[in-house]
Amino acid sequence: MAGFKETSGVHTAYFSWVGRALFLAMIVLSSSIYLLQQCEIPIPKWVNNYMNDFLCMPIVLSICLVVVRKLQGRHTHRLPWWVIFCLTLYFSLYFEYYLPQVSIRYTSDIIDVLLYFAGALLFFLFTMLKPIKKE
Amino acid sequence: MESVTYRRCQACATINENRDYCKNCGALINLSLKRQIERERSEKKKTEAKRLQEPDAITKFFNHIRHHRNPIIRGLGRIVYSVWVVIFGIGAFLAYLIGYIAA
Repeated sequence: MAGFKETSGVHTAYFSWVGRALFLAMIVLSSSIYLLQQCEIPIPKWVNNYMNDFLCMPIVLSICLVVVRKLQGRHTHRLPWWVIFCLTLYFSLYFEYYLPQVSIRYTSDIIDVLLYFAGALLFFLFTMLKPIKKE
Repeated sequence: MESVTYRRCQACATINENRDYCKNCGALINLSLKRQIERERSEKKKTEAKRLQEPDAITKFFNHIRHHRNPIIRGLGRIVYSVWVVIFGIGAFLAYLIGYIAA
């Protein structure tokens, strides 16, 4: 299988713990919000409506990246922009166009779509970042 | 009359009569037998390495259709074999899972 872009080993080593910590923080945060919603504990409206939509794409893309890195056996790959874009577009269409038509639980919201893309952009920028070299 | 072969064990210096293995410590003292075992081991290692290098049936199949004469089959093979299909598969599964949990 081919088509990956390589990042430097330094880059991976530099971000391994930062990436893991961020990923865990996002999982904990989104799970907490979901549990609070299920328990009907009042939380700020913007957190209730938008936070999980913003965290969705970074979590999904991180899982995809980890699985593909495991499959490839290389830990220096990163996802190209068009794959991130297509996956985000798929999520936007699935959650904001398809599911609202088949389930009353879901409603279409353009802000959710913007948040999906914002989260994906954040993930892309994070994976693109290079470590600061010490003089 | 049968010939008698004396072999000195390199490990414990015991003199052995018509033996491949030392009667004292059990070490292999027959040099030709030792070489034969080493040769067999080396050949086995090479065969194993060759077997591991060879692609499995699925890889062979995809390699075949990726270089197929028909451009449609070739294109389909390249799409299916691409790692991005795996990513989209994982993404689609996660979307379904999130949708199922949230509903």
